[in-house]
Amino acid sequence: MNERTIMHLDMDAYFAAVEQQSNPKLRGKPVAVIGSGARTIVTTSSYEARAWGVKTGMTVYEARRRCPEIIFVEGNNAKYTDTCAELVSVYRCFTPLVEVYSVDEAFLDLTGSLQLFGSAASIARRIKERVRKQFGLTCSAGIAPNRLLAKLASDLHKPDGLAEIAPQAVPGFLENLSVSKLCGIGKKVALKLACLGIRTCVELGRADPTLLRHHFGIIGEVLHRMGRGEDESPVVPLESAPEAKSVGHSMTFSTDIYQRDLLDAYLLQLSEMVGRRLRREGFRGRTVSLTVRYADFTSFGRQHSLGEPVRETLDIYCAAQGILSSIRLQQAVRLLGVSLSGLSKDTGQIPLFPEQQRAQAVTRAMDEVNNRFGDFAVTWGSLLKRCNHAGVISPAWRPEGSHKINF
Amino acid sequence: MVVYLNEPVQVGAVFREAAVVPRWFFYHGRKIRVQEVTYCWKENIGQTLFHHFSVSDGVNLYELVFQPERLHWKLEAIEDSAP
Repeated sequence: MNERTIMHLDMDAYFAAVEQQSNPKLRGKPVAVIGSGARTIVTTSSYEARAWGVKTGMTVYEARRRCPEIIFVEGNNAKYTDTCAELVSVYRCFTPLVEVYSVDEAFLDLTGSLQLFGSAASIARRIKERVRKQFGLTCSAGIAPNRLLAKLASDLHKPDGLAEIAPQAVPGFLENLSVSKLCGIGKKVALKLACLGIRTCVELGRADPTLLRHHFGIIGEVLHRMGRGEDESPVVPLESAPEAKSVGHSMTFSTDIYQRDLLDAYLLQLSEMVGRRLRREGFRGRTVSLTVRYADFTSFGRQHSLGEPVRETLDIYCAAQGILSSIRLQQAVRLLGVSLSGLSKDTGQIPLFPEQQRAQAVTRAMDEVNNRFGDFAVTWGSLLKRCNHAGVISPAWRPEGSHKINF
Repeated sequence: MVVYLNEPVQVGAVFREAAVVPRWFFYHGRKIRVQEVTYCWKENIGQTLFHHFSVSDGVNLYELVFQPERLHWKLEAIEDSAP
């Protein structure tokens, strides 16, 4: 493969920085963005809060214990997702090959842009300047011959950093770098590698591929290449991104729930959310999955494959309820999730029987009203007391296509 | 403290370069001059587009919402300077 130039852009303390920009009184202060639920956690904290040891995932109580001066701000997902879409517009001024990796990260393939705009570092400086001027935010940029190294580079001089790893500098850069720094190597894999005496990237790159394959299967070869700083995966722009393989939603309740009727109501709400997205994107799904998390955080999932693919809310709900009623719940439920996989394109088959035709007509009418006035503008009576929390922005969220969810 | 109002308001705004910038608005008969538009973002509810503006008069922070379809402005919330 020809030499590539890849840039990774990572917004610094994204949600917290947006809130500090929105409210001048928060600037320079320890801020933590939290959810709206009663049992929320810290989703992002400002660098001022991080200096006190506040981290993502911490409870509000723990964050306040670490930093008594901390200011909690309830997150605004619409603000963050809209800003992400605007940021993508800025990136696209420099290359059409923009892959949104998450709501605050993107990869840009600049290989074909260098002749037009000059060096990758000068493009990075121009993007950083526009982001600062247009949004008042900072980002860190990493430039390298591939995605793996570009992501590593963006992490080198955070916040507001710019780092470039030239192809000839790769071996020296990886020399003493811990394998746990590589994107894709989590705690478990790092521990397993350490048991094999592999702690640095160089050791991983020099390890016997057969040994790695023996311990990690097909991933062993990928790990070996990662250790050598090799990654040929392309930057996949939004319009070329593969279609979703499943569509799902979950919700964490403000209090743990025992009551079946309440769980059924939430199941209907989740089924409606899943069904709406399926119908909007023109899909049907065959396998309904239910995820349950108990009060003590133990989780499990069950799934049921249907005879034919479905897209109607009630079909999804009946299948999910069937699964739930087959489970003897051991504890109160903290989280419930419904998803549909085995997706296929909806062929638009018109139902043959009057009962199905009526059901489809009702669904279509409801969808039309909800498309015009917003989700749940028209809904079932049992959902009038539905859960209204905003939820979290899934890592799979994208500003366009089937992964887009409006907040 | 944030106070949610959701009240229609009269707003003076400048439209330029495909952007709208609120300059002043009346709240309870008082003209409030916008010193800084600290942030703006868009939100879709159904097919309706809303433009949100966080604005400061140098003392308090306000959230104004503009609905272009109806040319309608609302004062969504105030965060006053009291601790």
